[in-house]
Amino acid sequence: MSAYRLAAPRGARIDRARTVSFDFNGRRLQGFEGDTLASALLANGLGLVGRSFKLHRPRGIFSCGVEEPTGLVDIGAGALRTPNQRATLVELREGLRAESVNCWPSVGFDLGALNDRVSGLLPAGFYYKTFKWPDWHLFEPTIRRMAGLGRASGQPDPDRYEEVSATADVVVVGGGVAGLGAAVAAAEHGADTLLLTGGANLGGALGWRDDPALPQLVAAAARAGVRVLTRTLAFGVYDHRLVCARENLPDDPARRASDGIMRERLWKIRARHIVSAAGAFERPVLFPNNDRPGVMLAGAADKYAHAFGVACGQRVVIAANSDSAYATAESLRIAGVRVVALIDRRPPSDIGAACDSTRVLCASGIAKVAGRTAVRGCTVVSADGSGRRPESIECDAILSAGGHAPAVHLHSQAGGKLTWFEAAAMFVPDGHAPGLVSVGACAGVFDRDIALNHASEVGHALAGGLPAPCASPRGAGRSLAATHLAGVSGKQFVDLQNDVALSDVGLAAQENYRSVEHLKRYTTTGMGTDQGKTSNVNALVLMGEFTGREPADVGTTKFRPPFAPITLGLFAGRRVGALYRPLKTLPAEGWHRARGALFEQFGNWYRPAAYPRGGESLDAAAQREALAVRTSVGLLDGSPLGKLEIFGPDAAQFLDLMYLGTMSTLSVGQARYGVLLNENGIVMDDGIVARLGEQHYWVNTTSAGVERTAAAFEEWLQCEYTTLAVVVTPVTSRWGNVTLAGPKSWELLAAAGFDASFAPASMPHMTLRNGHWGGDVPLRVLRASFSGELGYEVNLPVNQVEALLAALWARAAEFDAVPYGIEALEILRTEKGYLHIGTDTDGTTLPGDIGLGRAVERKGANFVGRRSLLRPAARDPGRMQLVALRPGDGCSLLPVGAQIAAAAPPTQSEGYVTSSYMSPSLGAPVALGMLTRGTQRLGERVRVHHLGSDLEAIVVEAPFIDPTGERLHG
Amino acid sequence: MVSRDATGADATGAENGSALEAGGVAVRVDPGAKTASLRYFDADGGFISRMAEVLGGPIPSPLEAVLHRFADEPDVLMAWRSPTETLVIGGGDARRATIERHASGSTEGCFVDQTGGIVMLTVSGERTGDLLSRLGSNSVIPRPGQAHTARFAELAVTAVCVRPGEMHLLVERVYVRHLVAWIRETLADFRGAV
Repeated sequence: MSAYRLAAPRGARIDRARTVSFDFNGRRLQGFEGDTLASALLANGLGLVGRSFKLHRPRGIFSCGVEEPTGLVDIGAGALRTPNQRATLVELREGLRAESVNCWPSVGFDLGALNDRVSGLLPAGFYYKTFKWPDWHLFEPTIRRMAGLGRASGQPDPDRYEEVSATADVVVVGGGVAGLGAAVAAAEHGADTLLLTGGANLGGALGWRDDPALPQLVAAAARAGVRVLTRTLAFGVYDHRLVCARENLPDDPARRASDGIMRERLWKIRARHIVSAAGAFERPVLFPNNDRPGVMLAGAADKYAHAFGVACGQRVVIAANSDSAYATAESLRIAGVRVVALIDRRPPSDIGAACDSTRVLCASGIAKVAGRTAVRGCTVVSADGSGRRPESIECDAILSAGGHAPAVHLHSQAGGKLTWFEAAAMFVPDGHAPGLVSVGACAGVFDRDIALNHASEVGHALAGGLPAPCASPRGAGRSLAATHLAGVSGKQFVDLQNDVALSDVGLAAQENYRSVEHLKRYTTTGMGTDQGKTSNVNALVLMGEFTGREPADVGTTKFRPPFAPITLGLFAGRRVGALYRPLKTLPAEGWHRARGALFEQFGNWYRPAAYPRGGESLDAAAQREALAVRTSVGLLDGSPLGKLEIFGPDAAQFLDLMYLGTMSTLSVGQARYGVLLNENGIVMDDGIVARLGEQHYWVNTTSAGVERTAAAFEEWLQCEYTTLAVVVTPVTSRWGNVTLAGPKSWELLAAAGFDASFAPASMPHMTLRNGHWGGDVPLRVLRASFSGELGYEVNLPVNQVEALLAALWARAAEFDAVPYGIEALEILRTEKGYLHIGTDTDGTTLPGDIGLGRAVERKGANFVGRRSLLRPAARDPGRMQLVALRPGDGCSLLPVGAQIAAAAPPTQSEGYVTSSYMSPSLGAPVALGMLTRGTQRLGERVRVHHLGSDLEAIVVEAPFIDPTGERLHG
Repeated sequence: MVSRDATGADATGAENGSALEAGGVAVRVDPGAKTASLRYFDADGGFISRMAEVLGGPIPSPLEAVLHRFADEPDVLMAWRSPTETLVIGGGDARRATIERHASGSTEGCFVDQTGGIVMLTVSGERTGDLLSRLGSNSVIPRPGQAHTARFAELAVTAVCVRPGEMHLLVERVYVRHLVAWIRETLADFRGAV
């Protein structure tokens, strides 16, 4: 390719007075402000831009827009590197750095090009048939290294992305004449109208043309109050008329120097009506080696000439099977580009256009392209079997004009149907999609005046709530559906990005992958960053030819969002770093920090794991804290414990239905352990239910389970138990919780001012008392224990938690009190054999598996999950059951997650270790696990396997400590 | 002015009641706002009638908010939250005690104190709408006299608008830090006038 910069006045989009320097593959180049990277590369005479995906064939710039399949580059460096950017869309800016993708060591000399030498061994689907012997994993690393195109940075992205929501009566996608026409009409008739255009300027793909209507429409849009978002690409239409769009924000080197910048903005726009004016893509013509740098879409070459002042070659040939080629040839001539021949596949009788200024070879096709990294010439042969002698034409660029394919993506995403329009060989919308109307070229209307009138009528109708008129395809001229030339040798590429050739489509047909969806998966045509915008129609037309079907019968693949590649950063938005997910915070976080707490995430809570003293490890701190609870007293911030208030005349009945366990028999002030099941009988959560009044209950859930418990309560109330008068009020945030555990718990509470009504003698285990502390601080004190020790769960308003902790801490030294964290709590409850939902249970655990089978049998009344528990499978004695485990050697810690099996894996697993800790009280490890027929295997020695290690364990009876439960009472 | 920190998590100042201000938006956090949930089974029943008398005016209709002003005590803001719940914010201690007393014996509804558990953020300034459209869906931002419970910054938030240009966001205390950090990040970008 010998592209070059044309003289002024060509180049409506560039400012020749403002030079811009940029780097491409380490080479310093210059362009003009207004250039895209693609136009600047062409102006610098660089035709070879990248390498193809599979065969590493040399590739250049092929198009001028979002459909670009080959001109892919990585932009930026270091953390700012963004892979696989289309050079056709990258706005040139000072200091821009771009690199070719998928080549090593350079784009000019790429070792991967060896693939092309053995391309006969790499047809479509070769990877489905090979690499099976001796083992796929032998090949996998190499194949994975070779896969992909550009390289992602691997470093955290310093830039920022945000999400903005908006609403509009009418959202118009596309800023061309049709889009503007629809927007102006809608706004003038009172609709709140938002227009999105992917480019930096209004005017659309043809905005560079000197169309007098355009400035008038732009001015009218401003007058009518149309909101315009430029550089904003609508990439998806979703349910209920939600349009999602990506706004590219201009780079700011000054701010970038000190801070990341806002790079992209995700717009989520809810519209009453959507108008798609997304235009159309040109369809290429197939001929051997039609992928060489220098082969380009004709319309793109026309735009490069007029908009950017770049001629794509010194001597240009146009390969055509469409009437549009003739207008392009004339336009190029006007721009100063020399078109030496127009080679039309069609006989003269099928051609509906003419071009006097250019030599036209009818019923002809290109049989050969000379040159490997650039076009050096082509050989033209007869396409009608007339036996005309082949003719060699010297040229350095070949333009491809195979008709057009309307951009029906948004229409299809919205649920619209398509129909095949034979005359122009294209799929067009078949009526409107739900909530979306297509106008202009994407509706098959290529006649400017007709498109503008139709778009205006649509805008008017939508603004007035009237049915929008449908468009009839017009103005596209005639095109030939078949695009390839039979009887010639050489690869004719259908999909340039994925190296899918005509022969690959033939192979798919031969192997009966006739469905267009199978064709796509088998050959990979239409995949990748361009999603087949220039290849899909050719592929399905070919499949039709190979299988004797019309294109309409072959159909299209499903168009899914996004319409164009979207950065992951855009979808993440602000959900990165500390904002990745909402973490809940303790009310007395400062108090814990002052005590040296080591914070970790537990069930979406940010809470102390332990309170290591100088130089102490987390494990050592947890051991010390757990031992202190057994010997004196420990303080735990139990505020995360889930808390719900259940109120209503039917509250007792409702809780009986929701829990395994009967809550209606509780007297006021009593509390009972409960297990919550889902309708399948699976254990969802557990906790303690206490009765505050005749129709008022207090429900403690697990810390992580309060949302799912509250949601389950609401679901059953709203969907099944609709006649029950019950309200569920989450109060976890309102009530803090300070838990004291240990034999000196009461003594410490008494020292801090708690009155004698809370003493163990007057307040038995599993009771709840209301009261006050310090005169006016309301309390709900529950005698319960998750450690096996005398325990008090003191619930009080969150803003008083720190005060209570401080008061207790002030007397702590007298009772050898320590604060303890989650790690110590886990040790304590494991020593007692208390299960932890989600740790010792999973999504298959039934009550019988955790020792609650008799509770199921005893409860005669109905409850959620009961029916499922009556199934024989739920009563299978061969199910896994929770058991206690000790290491066979008495000293090895059994790894959590280790499998219990008779032999080393791979083998049938009999169970696994769920909890395992060193017990500071026993001086030996203790563990819990799920084991097949576990409760029938007490005393049995089992093998525990973990990452190659093999340990022995003994199934023992829980608990490990205080089997009679005497310590609970102080 | 708002300064951007590396993690966006250092929002403790705002949690404790200080204000954020940048780019035409001011955000004030009131962790001590007196809040409560009025729960009931029948919005037209006797319980609600009695509550309305004590509260000084009718409870709001679905998706609405009402502000009752009193000469000698703090205003009472009520926001509809669901068919069985209305949030009550503010009011004097005596009035709240009366409400609790009236509710305590009833079988038709209850009054659940949420003070400290539900925190109120007040957003004001000319770019309030811009900020909220970056926290949640534009379609659920309430207009004056409305209260919408929806997802803002990935959280369940009740947004209440009593007067133009001012919005109250009611959120669970445990999530205040996250919400403030999200707002802080957004305001930092407002400052940059992106």
